[in-house]
Amino acid sequence: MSGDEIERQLRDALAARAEGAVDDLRPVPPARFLTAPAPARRSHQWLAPAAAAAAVLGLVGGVLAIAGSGGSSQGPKVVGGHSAAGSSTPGTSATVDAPSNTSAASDGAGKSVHVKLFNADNHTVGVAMPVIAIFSRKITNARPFVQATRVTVNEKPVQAAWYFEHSAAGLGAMEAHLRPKSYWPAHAKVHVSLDTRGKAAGHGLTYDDSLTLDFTTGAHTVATVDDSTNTLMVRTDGVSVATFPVSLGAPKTPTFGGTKVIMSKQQQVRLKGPGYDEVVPYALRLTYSGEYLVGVPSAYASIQKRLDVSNGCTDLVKADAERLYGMLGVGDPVEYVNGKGPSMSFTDGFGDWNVPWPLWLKGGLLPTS
Amino acid sequence: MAVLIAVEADPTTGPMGAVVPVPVAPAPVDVHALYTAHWRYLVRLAVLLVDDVASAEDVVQDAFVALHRKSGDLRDPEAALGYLRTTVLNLSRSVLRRRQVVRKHLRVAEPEATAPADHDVLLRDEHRAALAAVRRLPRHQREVLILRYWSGLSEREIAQTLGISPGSVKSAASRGLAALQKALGGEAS
Repeated sequence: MSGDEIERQLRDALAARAEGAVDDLRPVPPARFLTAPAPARRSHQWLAPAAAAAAVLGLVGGVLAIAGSGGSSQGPKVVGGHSAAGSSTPGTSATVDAPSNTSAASDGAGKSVHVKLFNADNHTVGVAMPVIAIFSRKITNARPFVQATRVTVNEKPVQAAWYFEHSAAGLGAMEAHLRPKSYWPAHAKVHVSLDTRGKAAGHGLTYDDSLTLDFTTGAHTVATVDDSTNTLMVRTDGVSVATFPVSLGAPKTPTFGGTKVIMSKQQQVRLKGPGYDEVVPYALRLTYSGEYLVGVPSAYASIQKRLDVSNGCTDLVKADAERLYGMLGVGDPVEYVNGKGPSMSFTDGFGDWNVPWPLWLKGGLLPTS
Repeated sequence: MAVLIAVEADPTTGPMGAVVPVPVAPAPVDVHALYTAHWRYLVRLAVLLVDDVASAEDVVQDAFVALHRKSGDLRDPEAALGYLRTTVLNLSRSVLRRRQVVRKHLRVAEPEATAPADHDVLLRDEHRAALAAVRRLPRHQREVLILRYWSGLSEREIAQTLGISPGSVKSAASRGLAALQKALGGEAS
């Protein structure tokens, strides 16, 4: 492998790891330095490390009571503005109980599993947005979690089911996605409650929190990308609002088929790959592997000629990309039809809608019924 | 508590006494604006350094707490970002050091606690291999490669962040790359 190739591989790997760990969708959590006056905060926020250090010292001194010390080291963190129970904003609960050393050393009565939600409260999202729960450790029995879930749309109970998978983005030890059989109703209020605290997550595993989530759906906006005509059509609440010419993946790097969901929006993104490294405008992310709906000025001619030349991205001319960027938001579905490539995998983004409903009901990694 | 000082690096001093330039300007920096603008970037940087998201978020929060305490003295947002970067680097080192100590001793009592913070299980194979190889590099080379190939900093800025000379950045980078090439060279790409 050449030096250039090593550099490219390193660049890609670091970017994939960094962006996978903290996706663009993650809201910025409240700043800790704002929650208390400066001098008090100083002593406060060193409590957790102090307890961890104390635990180590205890061991060094021949005291093997690590379980007790480990448990107490989580105490100050919870006090420090991160509520472990109650309503969830993913940002705030993120640091409470992660797969770190301290959580592994919790009390002998069983290990605790902390659940957080990827979704933020009180946001408006597209009708294809899955609810994503992130588990601090691998659970082995999903049924109590499933039974503790209540979902309502406009205050009426609806059927929605969980599907368990590895966390492709490295958000936690495991992920579960919740969705109804077909897209959420448009312009609706969705409420999810997870009364999981104290319930079993498998042998010797207990949830340490309960959560709720409230979000609203926007219009029923669906983009359809037809590989046979190289067009992208946007329909909102049943009305066709725009059609754009696009260039899709070249024969060697075909664009994935199936239904993708917009994961994030970026005014600009740097796309790198074999033979290209460009900063391009108006990017709508579709997969962790790096497929975007994006304006690519250098692809102008191919788009006009309806040629497929990209590395998998759906390229638009800049003006079209700008319009599309204004039409679509996070959670809106993008359906790829008549393509030559394989379907997008579940874990390469929000691949939820590519799993047939009967299979979805089986629960993925863990049986749910 | 004397031992605590040994375990915790002071987040306010740069490595080897690196000095953050403080140009004279009218108003102190707006820490909150910096927080909103750079939180994601800094957490990502910390993730690459400490390898788990929760610790990375803690590191970044602590870095902003440190900046907040100093914000009266800092007037240039660019310098403040440099200060944050250096603090994230230092705090990440502390996390790794602490983790190493904890692991060493926990191995006796609780074998499960030694499992690596392996969040990249589902990254593509070539990415995983590259990350694993980076993780095995000596600390200096690892930091230089992460700053050079991810953060978008120039050699001079990397030198400033790490408090070393540009020449050391160059040599650490080329040694690191050579080691990676050796580690990954066997694989087709």
